[in-house]
Amino acid sequence: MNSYDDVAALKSKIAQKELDFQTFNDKPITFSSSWALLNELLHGVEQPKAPRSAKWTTPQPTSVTQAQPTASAVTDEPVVPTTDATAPETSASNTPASDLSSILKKVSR
Amino acid sequence: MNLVYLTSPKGGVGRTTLTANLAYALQRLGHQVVVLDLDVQNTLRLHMGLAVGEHRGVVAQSQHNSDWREHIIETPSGVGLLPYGQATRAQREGFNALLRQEPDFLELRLGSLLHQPGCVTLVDLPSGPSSGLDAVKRMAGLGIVVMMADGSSAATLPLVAQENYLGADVAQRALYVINQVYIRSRLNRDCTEFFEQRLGAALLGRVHRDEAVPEATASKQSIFEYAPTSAVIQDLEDIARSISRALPDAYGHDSMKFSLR
Repeated sequence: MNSYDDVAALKSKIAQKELDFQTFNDKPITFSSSWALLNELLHGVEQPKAPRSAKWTTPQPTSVTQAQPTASAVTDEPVVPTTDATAPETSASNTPASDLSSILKKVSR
Repeated sequence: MNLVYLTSPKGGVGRTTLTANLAYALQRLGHQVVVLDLDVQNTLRLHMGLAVGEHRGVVAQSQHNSDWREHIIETPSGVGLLPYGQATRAQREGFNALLRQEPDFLELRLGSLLHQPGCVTLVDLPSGPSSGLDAVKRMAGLGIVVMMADGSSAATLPLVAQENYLGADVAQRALYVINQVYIRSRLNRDCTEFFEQRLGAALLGRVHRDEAVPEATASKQSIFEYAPTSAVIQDLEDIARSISRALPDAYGHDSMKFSLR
């Protein structure tokens, strides 16, 4: 036991070809998740949304005097998160609340 | 005043998620909903489907004597959002000072939004005592304390009535929600029963734990769209209906007459 040279043992171990360390720097790795938020966090830009979520991007311009109930928007099947690159990007997410604030101001005067 | 604020004596109970989901639920009842984020983490925007790079917010605007209705961002669902926003340390400190020193700071900034029939303003606060909490306490809003059915959250229940937190008067009027109830856990069931015993009628409702809730956020969708059959939907709708009824100005308005049940 006293004669055991662990430095030499380590050297011989890492010299074995089958244990060759893998680095992925030289390989094209692309991260693509089914979760839109993770893709956005990694790539830094908002990813196009799936067609199903486009339904959600239609804001109800409910004026206060004529608000319509938006309930019961129930679909038959559960929504599966997808990242379809061909889907049209929604534009409402970053725009100022021109409609909403104008409605609010109009009513509150 | 149609103001509802959500607070929790302990962090990590899902308060911000619950705020966003209640906003969706109230909107489905027919209310116009605006959510105000007073938490420095600024994550409410992600629950409302905005881009990660969206850095606008009320803190950077706080030095200006502006009407915050100008800064409402319309989210994809149609709920209005006033995000905390990205702010420097000086801006944060200035904002906190204004919240502490100017008694009517929030009321002036939110203006007539607070008294608008049919409209509900939800405020997400950081956990524990904060200058934001002190500011909304001064307004005659509805306080909702979010708890989780675990031992450490139950242990924080006595803190709610302390003067440096809600105070005895506000705590007496506050309502409670138990979040992430998991009925397969014995501890969770026992803690829920503990809260029911202690809170009685002040317990506004409970929300079951469902993996679909964080999945909806990661999918940048509302839970109502992502998992319309989830038990959480029913929980949220029950709580939203109770909140709606607790706000006479918002509930009794003509705009609500088609959604009353």
